[in-house]
Amino acid sequence: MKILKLADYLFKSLIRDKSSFFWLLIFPVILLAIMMIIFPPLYETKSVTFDLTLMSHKGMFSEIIERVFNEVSKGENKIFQLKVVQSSEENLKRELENLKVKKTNLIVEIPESFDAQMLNWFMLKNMGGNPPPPSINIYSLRHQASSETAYIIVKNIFQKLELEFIKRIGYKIEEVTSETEIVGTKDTFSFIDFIYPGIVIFVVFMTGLFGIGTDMAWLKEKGIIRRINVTPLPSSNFIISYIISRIYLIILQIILVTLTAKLIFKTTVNPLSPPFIGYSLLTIVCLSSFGFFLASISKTTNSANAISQVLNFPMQFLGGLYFPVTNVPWAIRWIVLINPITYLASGIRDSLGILKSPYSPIITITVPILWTVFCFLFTIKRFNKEEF
Amino acid sequence: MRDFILEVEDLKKYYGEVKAVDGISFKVKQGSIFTLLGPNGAGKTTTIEIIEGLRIPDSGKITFLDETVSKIGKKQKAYIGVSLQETNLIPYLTVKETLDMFKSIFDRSLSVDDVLKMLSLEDKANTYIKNLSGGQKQRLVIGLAMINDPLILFLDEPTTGLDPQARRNTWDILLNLKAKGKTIILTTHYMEEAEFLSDWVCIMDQGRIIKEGTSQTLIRDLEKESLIEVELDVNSVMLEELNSSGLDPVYDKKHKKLLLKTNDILATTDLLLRLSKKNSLQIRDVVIRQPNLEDVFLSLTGRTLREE
Repeated sequence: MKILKLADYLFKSLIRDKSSFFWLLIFPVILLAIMMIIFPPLYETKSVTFDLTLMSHKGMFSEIIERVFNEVSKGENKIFQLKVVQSSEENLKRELENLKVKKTNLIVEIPESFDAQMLNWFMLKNMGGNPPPPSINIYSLRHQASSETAYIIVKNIFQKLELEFIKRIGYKIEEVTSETEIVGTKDTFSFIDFIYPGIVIFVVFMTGLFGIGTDMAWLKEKGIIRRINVTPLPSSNFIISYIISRIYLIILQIILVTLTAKLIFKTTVNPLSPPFIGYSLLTIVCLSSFGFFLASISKTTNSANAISQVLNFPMQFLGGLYFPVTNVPWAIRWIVLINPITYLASGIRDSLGILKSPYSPIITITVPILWTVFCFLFTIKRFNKEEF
Repeated sequence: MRDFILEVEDLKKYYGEVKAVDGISFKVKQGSIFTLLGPNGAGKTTTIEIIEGLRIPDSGKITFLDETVSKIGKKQKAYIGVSLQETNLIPYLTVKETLDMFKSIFDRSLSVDDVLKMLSLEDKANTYIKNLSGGQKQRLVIGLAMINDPLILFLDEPTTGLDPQARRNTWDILLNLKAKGKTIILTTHYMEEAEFLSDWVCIMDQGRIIKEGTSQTLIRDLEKESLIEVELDVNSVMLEELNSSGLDPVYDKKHKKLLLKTNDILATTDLLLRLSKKNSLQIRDVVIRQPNLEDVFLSLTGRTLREE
């Protein structure tokens, strides 16, 4: 009861301070909103449609190709805005003008001789020959991104078509594989799902640095801990009360951020899922211990503040809270690698299926635990040594 | 009722070469105001912090409530009330909340309302600490020391930095506490405070107790009835002549003040006037007063209490 009452008063005094109230409770919500305004356009993929002109004519193979392009030009996720015109010199001339003035991104011309070329190719192939492949003319604009991208897609479609033709006429073909990089296990990447766990770690980090580190240094400097030490209350009980008061704060912070993320930005992350709760607890323990470590090495509030400011930005931005940091230059990669936030952020996102972690789950748990053990042992040693 | 509530024997605390407390012994009568008087750095705070349990002595014995211990622990802390030399409180708690927070630490305590009444802080009960004046804050600090209804209160320079009115109010509170049977151990470098409040004064310098007794006996031991303070630019010839007249003059060069101890005011002033005329020295001011604890300290150490 003594511990809880003391914790209540320590919590009250912290949130009554306007500066603490703003920076520890309101600012994380504002930061989340800012992040949601700035970053989603950089992360979220939009469907892109290219203007494609298909110049075709009557014929079995030409119609197959036309049907394929019609298929990929339908529905919400269509790739092309398709325009089909009769293959002729006059039409080609007009469409080439359109291409130059960017009214279309790409022209695919199926020559009149295409069907005959295809039949010829099959026959010669069956006889064991090595005939030249039938050709289709594709017109694009060099150094024009959308035209070049449309060209790559169309070329890819023709390669697939070619294989399909070959398969249907009985040729044995080897399995075609391609290398893929897995960047997420969700069907679509959602920035709010990515940033929400980052902001949760951020609020705990802020509490660690300023709500514990600087605040504890202030209590020490101003002799409030000394005043408690002349009462029968053991120092350990005061520390427990202090930790409880900060847990109240962190719970309130997480609730505010979660409500904002859920109700306004519609995150699909379930804050009650065991991985989220597990990593959140690890974050609280690790970054709180970091705050106590900071208080133990600071003789004054000013020095604690200075150290906090020095650590704040590198640890935040090189901890992967707001963007992935796996490919940063080696000159600063060491900060990424020694930073406990790197592992907490990677671990929590991986466990929720938001972004695959470059580190194994054992690493993402072990590194923060090692930090916690180091910080607590160091703090206990320092606090025991000092006569407050 | 026991005679002595606290006895300290051969207490030592060294910090490397610095002998902060150098083998001091004293006894504190129950229900009295006991004062450690001395300049900054005399060892008063270190002594009191050892007895409060904040510092561990290098050696020595403390007998508190008939129990002899080498250091003050949780058991003894339940019976003591403390006002540290510099006590800052949590700024965003109210007076009432602060008292209640400290009350919750102890098993036995006074009611918050009673303490507020005792300190005349009822109207400030819901005021944040950050909005209190220096005097109100100091009263609250004493209130916090009283909240557990202690047998003994340790007040380390409780009036430093207060204006004369606030200081006077604090003295009244302390005298009221004494009237209620509380024992008070006080440190101060204000001789008038020690003189006004104390039943027993220990004068400390450089970690040692150099003299102790009641204010009256300490002053009486100077064996001079009066002191004459003269403001003038004295020269060596005049000092020599005063010396040869058996007056034992002390000259403060910094403040250009000459101090003469005497049992015959008329004869001494007459001599002073003659010598100043003879040496063509102009007297700017003369004060004739009774000796005080400052003079006791001066006669023992050759320094004033407020010298750095």
